[in-house]
Amino acid sequence: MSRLEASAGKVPQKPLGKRMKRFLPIYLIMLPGLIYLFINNYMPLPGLMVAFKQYNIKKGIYGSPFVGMKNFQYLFQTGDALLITRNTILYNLAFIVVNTFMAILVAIVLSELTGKIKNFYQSAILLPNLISSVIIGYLAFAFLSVENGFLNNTILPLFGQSKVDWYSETKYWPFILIFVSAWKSVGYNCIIYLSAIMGIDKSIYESASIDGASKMQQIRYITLPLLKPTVIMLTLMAIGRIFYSDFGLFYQVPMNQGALYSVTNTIDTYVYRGLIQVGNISMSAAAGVYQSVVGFILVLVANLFVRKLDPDNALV
Amino acid sequence: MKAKKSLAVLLSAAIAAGMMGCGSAATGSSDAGTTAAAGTAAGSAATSAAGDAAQSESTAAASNGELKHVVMSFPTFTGAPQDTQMVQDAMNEILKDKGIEIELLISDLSSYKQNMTLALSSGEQIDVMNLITQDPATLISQGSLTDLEADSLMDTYGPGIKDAIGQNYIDACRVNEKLYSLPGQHDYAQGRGCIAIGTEYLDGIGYKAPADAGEIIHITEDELNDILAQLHTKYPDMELIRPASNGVSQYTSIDQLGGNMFGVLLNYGSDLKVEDPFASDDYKQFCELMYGWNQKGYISADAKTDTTSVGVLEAQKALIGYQTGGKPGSKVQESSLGVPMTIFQTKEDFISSSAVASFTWAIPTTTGDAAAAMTLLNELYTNADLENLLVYGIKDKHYTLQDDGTALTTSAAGGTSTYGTLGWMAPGQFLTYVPTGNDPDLWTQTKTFNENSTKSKASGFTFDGTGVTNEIAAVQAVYDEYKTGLEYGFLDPATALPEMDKKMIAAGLQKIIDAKQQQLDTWATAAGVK
Amino acid sequence: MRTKEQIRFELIGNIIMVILTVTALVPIVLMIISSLTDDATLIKNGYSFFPEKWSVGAYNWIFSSNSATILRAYMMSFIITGIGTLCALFLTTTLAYGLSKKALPFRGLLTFLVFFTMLFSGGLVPTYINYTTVFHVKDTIFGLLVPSLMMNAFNVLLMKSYFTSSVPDEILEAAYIDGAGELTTMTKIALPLSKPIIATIAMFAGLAYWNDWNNGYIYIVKKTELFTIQNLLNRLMQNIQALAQNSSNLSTAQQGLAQIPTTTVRMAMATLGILPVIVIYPFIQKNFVKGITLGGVKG
Repeated sequence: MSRLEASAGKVPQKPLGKRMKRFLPIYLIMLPGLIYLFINNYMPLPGLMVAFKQYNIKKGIYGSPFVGMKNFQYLFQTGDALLITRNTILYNLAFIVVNTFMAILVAIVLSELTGKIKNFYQSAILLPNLISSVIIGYLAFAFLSVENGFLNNTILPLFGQSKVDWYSETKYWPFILIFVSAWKSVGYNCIIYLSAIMGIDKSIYESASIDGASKMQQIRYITLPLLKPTVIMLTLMAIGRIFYSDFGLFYQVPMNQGALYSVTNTIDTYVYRGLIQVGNISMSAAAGVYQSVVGFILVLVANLFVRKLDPDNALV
Repeated sequence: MKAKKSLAVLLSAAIAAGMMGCGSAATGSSDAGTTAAAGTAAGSAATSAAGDAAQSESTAAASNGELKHVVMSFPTFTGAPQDTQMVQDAMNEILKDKGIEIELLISDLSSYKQNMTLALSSGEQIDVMNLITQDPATLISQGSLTDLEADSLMDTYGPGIKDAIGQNYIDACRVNEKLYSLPGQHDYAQGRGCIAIGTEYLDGIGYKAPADAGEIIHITEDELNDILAQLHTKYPDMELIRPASNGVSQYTSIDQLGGNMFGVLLNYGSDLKVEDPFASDDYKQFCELMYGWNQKGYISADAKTDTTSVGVLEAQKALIGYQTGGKPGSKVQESSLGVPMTIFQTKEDFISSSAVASFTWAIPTTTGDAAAAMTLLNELYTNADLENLLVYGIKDKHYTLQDDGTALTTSAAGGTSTYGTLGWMAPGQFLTYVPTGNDPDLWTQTKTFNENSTKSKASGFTFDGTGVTNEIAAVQAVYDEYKTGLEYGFLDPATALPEMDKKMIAAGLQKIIDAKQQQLDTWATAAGVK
Repeated sequence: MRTKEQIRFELIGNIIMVILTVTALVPIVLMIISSLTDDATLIKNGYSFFPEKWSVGAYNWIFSSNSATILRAYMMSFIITGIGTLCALFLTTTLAYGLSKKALPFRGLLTFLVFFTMLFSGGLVPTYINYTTVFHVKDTIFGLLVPSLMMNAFNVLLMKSYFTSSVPDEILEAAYIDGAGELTTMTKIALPLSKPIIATIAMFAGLAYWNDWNNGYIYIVKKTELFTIQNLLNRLMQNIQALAQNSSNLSTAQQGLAQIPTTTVRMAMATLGILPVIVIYPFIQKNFVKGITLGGVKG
């Protein structure tokens, strides 16, 4: 465990000027990345202003008149404001828990398995990540179609159950969506944990082994604690995006069925549907600002807690 | 070369970026038409000034002698055809005399809206564009469209347009009395209450069409229900009817003011009172009819989720009939997949208030030269050779002329198509040849069809929803929740309809209705409609 | 030499992985089988693992109408993914390494600036205006390479976190005190210890480039010969959808659709999109696994 303590030890702070000189080469190599960040993310950023303006093409984004918070109203005008916020948050929480658990489980299993077969496992579970949401929607339909679906025609009769109208019954959809999300992302997410496990000093396991620790004990007392920083960081980042949702998952997979809105409507799908008619740049920007600001506040608060409890793992 | 240029710009931008904060405020107010210095253009990323610079550059680069470069943008279902350049060259031969040179910018219908929104907001040169899939009200309120009559633009450069379209139909496109776009020549009316049924199934139940029936068989709803019942008895395992997502505009007498359901005229727009359709008997009857059909097992349980098109289902013998819109040529159209169809109609032919003003042609404010753009439009509405080139391509290469004067395209003749655009979108469709298979007299029939149809009293009224965008977004969300359920007959209207209406009122439906009524009244006074 | 516990662990581990693998593969197998099903059969009987009638009609249609385009698009995909991944790896690694230096002045501020972009973006229109009017990437290969994909905050922070937690500071400090410059320390000591994360980021960037169709959708309008395979497939897919939506009232849409085996063609396109990955992935995987296992702190 000495490594962790060592990394926590602060480098003695030298005067700023001296440090700047020492790190000059570091700044130089960081420059391309920073320039890209500036071009790709910061140059268009003033465009966010459009959320507070009545956009006029002739005047441009900066010249258009301010209208205050008017563009935000539609987000709260609907009686469904609470519902879509609830759905977005609850699904994201479920995804954080389920997907993190699955990814860690798979990463640990893969890291302990021997033999070539594990490469095959890893390739196979990554494949769903390569399939677009539209196609996932059709594949889900292949399983869930009322007349010809695989579940209704093959699986349910095996258990003597009668046909289910999957696209009208809301009660199944939270499970379906969480399942699809895990199906799609476990192969991708486990790579992160796998690389973190590979980064763990092998000598720790060796000495634990010599001391007679069992495999399960090694996992419990070495692997899991050392994965903590990664888990904390990924969770913090997920909290920042908790007001966002995977549009394809919530729109394409339930085939945009009105009957399912109470469990599939999220902020993103609501905004998309609402703006199809009016197609207003300012209003869609407003939705983005709302989602970002809330996420930003939440992540800062969460970060504050992390910093209190475990300063090394705070995000910023 | 391009890489070098990009790199250079990249560097200069990195430097200029420091000044962005103050620079943009200054250039932001510059009006369209002013030329921006190259230096400021780099800094003001999102201002129209930068757009102007890019635009004048492209005009200068492309213009050829004295010819004015005009970019015409519209979509097809599959994007730019292979021989677009060839056809464009042929069109330019004709347009040379008019001092203009056309560039065809053809996109896919699916990405057209996105492409145009981005192109217009960054000031790229587009001179003539079709407004299909666009939201004209938004474009107008954002200042993207040129007033076609300002400085007598149309009178000077488009003298032939008025006669080609007809003053009535031009007036039907006005927004707040101003003219921003022009309708193409096509069927404005639509036969409502139409159902297409595979003829072989009708033969199966021994149905005989009345001897005097024309292309479309007019029957009552009871007669239709009787036919459907017989079909269902004869073919109990087949899907009988596939409802359409635009069922309201095909199967009710509702006139969707401003193109949406939030405030409508009832009874074919015979009265200028804006109503809540969801509280109307007409909509209720429609939903009840669908619910009844669904209860009887006419509609597949997968109808609401299946995205296979009705034509394909019909051709694969998986479906007997579907809702459609009637017009001259619709029997030929619906039978085009090789399955002969019979068309029944239970309601009237109707021109809705927004029918004329759909997929119209406009001159965006990012035009290089509005006069040249109008000149091109004028040619497209009056020059048959030019129009045939645009729609069909080059004679004997992309199509052949038949003895009856109709045009047989290579794809219709069984070959591979290398050119072809959407005739129904073309400005002067009535100038072009009729596609082979149709009555050679199709265009005259279409004109008569337009003339003789019931017209909404509000024909020509266009709704400006800017004041109630919030409400429209909120109400649309409610509508989406129930639309398919009700209009495909999966929800019982007795309970679902009042539920939806209540939610809509809560989301601000009445405010939209009031806004519509007020605009309609103002419009009616100005237009002298009672 | 394996203990009883190890054997039990292997057994349970294999059972878990087999279940997950089957779950992952079943829908994909269904997709491939559907792409090889006769269109009429599929419409009538629905999707099935054992179709009544097989057919390569969908592939025939795709290749007969687009064969040259498809091969070119595959090539574009490989070029874009290759160049893009290298660029992304360079930008991400250098920036993340800098941010991982605890003593770096303004480290907190810079990290925050990176993190901030994860939540706030200027939106599509301003980004488009920026890239087209300032950098003129429209209808160039840069339009596919540069916007949004070259570096993202998530990967940078992920990598930074790996550097801070898995590359011991004391080794780097020792090297620095021994007279090695910061850059030497980085290339000679830190990066070799970080192979797992480098392989991971390369994989993520590669996947992002391979899967992307959005850049082509936005920035490639006229020069469609620059389309990658995902652009092309996505475009065909969207066009079919547009045709289907309009087929009830437009004859051209009907005729257009008549020539396309619509249902199976979607599946065929999705299959074509992942096929090269299935073929090439084992090679990448080999190197990836090598990178991920050979790196790390040795005992």
